[in-house]
Amino acid sequence: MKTINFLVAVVLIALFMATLPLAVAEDAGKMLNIALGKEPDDLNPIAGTGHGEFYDVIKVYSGLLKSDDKLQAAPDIAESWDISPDGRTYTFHLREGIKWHDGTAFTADDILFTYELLRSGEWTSVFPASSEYEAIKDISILDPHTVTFTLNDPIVAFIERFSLPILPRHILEGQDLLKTDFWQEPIGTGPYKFVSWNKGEDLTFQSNPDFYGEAPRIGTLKYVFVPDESARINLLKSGEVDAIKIDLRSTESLKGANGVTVNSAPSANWYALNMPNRMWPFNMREVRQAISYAIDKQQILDTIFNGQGEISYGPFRQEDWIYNPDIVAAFDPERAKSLLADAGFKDTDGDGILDKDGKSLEFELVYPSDNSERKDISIAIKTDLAKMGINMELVGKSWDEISYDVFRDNVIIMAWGSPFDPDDQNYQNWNSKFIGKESWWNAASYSNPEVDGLLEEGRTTFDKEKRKEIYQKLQSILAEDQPVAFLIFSNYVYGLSDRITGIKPRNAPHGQGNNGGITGEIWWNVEEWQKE
Amino acid sequence: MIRETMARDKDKTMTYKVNPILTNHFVLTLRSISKFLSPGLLAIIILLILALSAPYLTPYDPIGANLSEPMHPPSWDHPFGTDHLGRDLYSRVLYGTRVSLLVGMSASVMAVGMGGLIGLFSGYFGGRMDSILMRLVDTIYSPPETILLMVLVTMFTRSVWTIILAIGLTHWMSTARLVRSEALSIRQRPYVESAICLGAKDGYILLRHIAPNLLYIAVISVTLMTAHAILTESFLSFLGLGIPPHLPSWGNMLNEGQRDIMRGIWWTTLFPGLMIVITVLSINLLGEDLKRRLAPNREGGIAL
Amino acid sequence: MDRSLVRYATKRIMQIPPLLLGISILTFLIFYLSPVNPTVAYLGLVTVQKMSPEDLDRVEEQLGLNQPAHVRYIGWLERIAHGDWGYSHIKKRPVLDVIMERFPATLLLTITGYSLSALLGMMLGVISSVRAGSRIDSILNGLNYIIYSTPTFLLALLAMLVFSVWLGWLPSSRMLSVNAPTSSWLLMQDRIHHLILPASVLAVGHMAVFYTYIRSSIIEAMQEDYIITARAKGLNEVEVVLGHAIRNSLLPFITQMGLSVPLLIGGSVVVESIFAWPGIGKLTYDAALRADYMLLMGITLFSSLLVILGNLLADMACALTDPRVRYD
Repeated sequence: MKTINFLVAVVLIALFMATLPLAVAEDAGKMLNIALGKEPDDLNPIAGTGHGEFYDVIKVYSGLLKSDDKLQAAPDIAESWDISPDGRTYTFHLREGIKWHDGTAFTADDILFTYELLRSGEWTSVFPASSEYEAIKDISILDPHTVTFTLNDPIVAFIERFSLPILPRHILEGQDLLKTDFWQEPIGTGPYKFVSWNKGEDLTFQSNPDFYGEAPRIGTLKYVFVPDESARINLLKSGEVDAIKIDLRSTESLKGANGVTVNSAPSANWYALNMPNRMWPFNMREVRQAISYAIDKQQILDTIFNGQGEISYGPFRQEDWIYNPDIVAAFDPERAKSLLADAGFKDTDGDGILDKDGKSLEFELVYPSDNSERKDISIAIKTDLAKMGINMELVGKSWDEISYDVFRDNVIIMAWGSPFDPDDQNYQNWNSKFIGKESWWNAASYSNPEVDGLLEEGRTTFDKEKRKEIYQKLQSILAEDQPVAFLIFSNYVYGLSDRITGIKPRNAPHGQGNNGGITGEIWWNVEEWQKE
Repeated sequence: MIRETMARDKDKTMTYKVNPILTNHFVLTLRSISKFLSPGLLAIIILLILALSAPYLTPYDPIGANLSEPMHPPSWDHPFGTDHLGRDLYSRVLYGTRVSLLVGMSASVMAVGMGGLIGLFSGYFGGRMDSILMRLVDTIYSPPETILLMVLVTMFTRSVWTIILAIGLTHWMSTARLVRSEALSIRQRPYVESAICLGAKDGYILLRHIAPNLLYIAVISVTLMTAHAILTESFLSFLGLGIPPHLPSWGNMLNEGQRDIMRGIWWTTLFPGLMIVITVLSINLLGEDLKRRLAPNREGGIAL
Repeated sequence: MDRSLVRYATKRIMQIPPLLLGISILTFLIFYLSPVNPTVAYLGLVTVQKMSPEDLDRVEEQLGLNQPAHVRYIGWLERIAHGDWGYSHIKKRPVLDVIMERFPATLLLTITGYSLSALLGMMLGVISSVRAGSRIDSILNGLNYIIYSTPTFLLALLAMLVFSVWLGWLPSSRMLSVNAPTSSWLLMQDRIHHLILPASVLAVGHMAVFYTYIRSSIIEAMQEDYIITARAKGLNEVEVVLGHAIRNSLLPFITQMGLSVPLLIGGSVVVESIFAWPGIGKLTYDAALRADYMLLMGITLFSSLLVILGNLLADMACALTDPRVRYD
């Protein structure tokens, strides 16, 4: 009896203690907590297509230039710059007194070193964007504060390439970049310094006291890794975390939460159904067009994306200066059916699936099993196509498996998008010279010589009016050819604490938006934020 | 008070006390049928019928999306409501019954079949075969069941059959041990010994004397194991390691429902969850009932 | 120390080496039979993507991946014995380090949870058996069945929904708050706060077994003659049960607890995954989701070792308390 009494008393005391309110940590204004859904593999800032979508690490570094809130080039390491009249030579005048986070002085040699790493093409597995930098013919250091770049061709968009994060020569020279620990403990020249990375737990940065620009107001940035979205939402609501990215359909779960605002930022991110152009039946243009007409994009936008975004008819959004308003193609299942019939598809064996020459119109689509948006889009498309008599089987695989060997020449839901120069990403995606390369570019294996020509022309034409013509022509050809079935532009949605000020949303590229990653729309100026 | 209860418990399998004047024949018939049919069995029969006739019971497609009606609460058109892709939840739950029962029963038959055979040979032949087989049982018992299951499901391609195999391969051990001890004791019974003396072959003894006496263990095990297998499949699917996410399975539905709860949508979680509980409960009740009838002298405890 | 105890201990310990051999073979077999490309398994999909064919061949040579099974097995066993359990590509660290880091968290959770579960089961079982046959008994019995038939993850979701989302009393995930307090008193409070929900879910989910066991064994014990004696002496029901009946039921109860040893290590997988509790269970889940084969094999091996050890200790505890066991 006595033992039981004692035990009960212990349990009650423990419960009582446990429900006491917790003390709040002091200095809350100096620290920003962000819950990320996916932990980065490493802190390499150039691991993507080179526009710095990796906002969990990009603030550790700086580049010659950066993008301002209008996506125009702004000074960073370079105070000012000149472009030669023929558009091939860029001269940068560097700031003085820049230091690396370990105290070493920054020199122009670091710039040369970094660009050479990419230009040489030796480290393509570490820096997939290397091929872009082959356009540089020559880099010369005129004096300790002046660097010149000469390009082979006058590429208009290349100015955006100068936001490339600069890596420290004194640490990385001569190292095997595949094995180095540097990607786990980066050192840069940016506004935030790397402090610690507890794998699986959190990643912490602190403001750089020697930063050459304006010092960041928020002293510590802490990213915590919380894969489950409901857990992230709970952390935000309870105030433990100040910012998260959420699925578009979760906006209701934050309605009415105290001290929290939902910010839905338009982005350049577009989704499309990849149709490998070299494989039957997608080698027939009518089939691709029919599929595109058969998909009800408005419904997908309304239900899966909660109406936040817009229908995509091509790689440019309506608000882009280059958008071609004539390419709108409505949802038209009747037209799709007649296109298929004209192409010779009939249901000869009565199984509900169209066929031609003995082959049934069916194929497999691989979707990432941990990504609910793409899974749902796949199911929606399957239903729409089934009404046409097209059978699409769904196969779920992990994202790692997909990126390893599946994305090329396979039907998947792909996503791209860039708000920067129209040449960015489009040059690589629609250009036949990227077919078969070991990268994500042109996964549809699309080949159209007219388009190739337009892309080359567009990137070296400086006259804005002429460029507009060229890219509008590109859009109408793409709309005709439908190498991929464009679906939706989606917003990226964030839950943010009301105590944060200084947020300026801007259009951003496709990035690690899925599973609560962070992309550029909000985070691009995190060093300017303030928190009460 | 306790003595009387025990007596009452024992009586449950015997005749009911009936007042012959006040009770009519209909009730009497019902009672004699209910002696035979427990509520558990009844529920299972209903579930089986539902599962087999699922395609005829609903006009909606459980896999294809219906984006015009997402997230509708329960209504006449959709008695269980619709999910975030507009799919009718009632049909999905029905089709989910098929998946769960298929996986549950196949896995459990496989497990009990394997375990039964191994236990039989182990207990009957004894000696080296026994020690080797029991070593095997101990070995597979060592990794915790859930961990072993998740490893198997990941190392081999993910499909319905892998799941059935994985569950079967990790659950045969308890049956093996039971059957072994029972087979051992039967083997020592006088009529078996005399059969051996008379020169009966092993095969004959196994088939004619030992195996029939083990059948009751098999029946009870299959029943209880099915319940366990259904629970296992549902948690695997819930975690995303089981049935492919676009196919209807109660576990999958709960996975998607988890997100919906945060948005205030309760029906995508309630109905699949309820189905799991009801199904497993019925099977467990049936199992307990069978235990009481077929093995009344065993000690208490939920697992056999 | 009794001779029989020593004999029993020796016998049990002798059974361990073949068991260890067995699980090493089992673990290796799973690895070997799986259709996954071994190089991919060792390095992870992400790394293999970045390597050239020559590099891949070199790694294959190094690890001896194109040799017959028994050679590979010996090689693998040697590496394991030297502490090289492989590299986890999702955690970017050696497998053994990751596991050793994580398993204390699991132990904390499962020991708390299952002790609570035994306690709860025992208390309710006693209440039930004292009032056997009454309404309380039926209600508890019914509830017990229902909980036993509910998957643990559903209980976890329900608990999270009620206590975390709606009432906001307890945190819904992780072991510590994001800005964990540094003073030790508040830190402990924070830890307890985070421990309550997952441990309670484990407790409720597993108590069915203990409840049924205690209830039926007490009911049986109540049939014995010494109970009549106790009642005749004038003790009331509760004292009879707690003072006498329970004594004889406790031993098999402890045996039952011993049977739950594997659960201490693997039973928390679901709860850890839902509550993002950083233990072995969640590790297994992460590894399974992202196909980190080395980590999975490491966890299999490690958890098996722990279970074998745990079983040994449990058996020794049984042998100490119940001499009959020593002559098994």
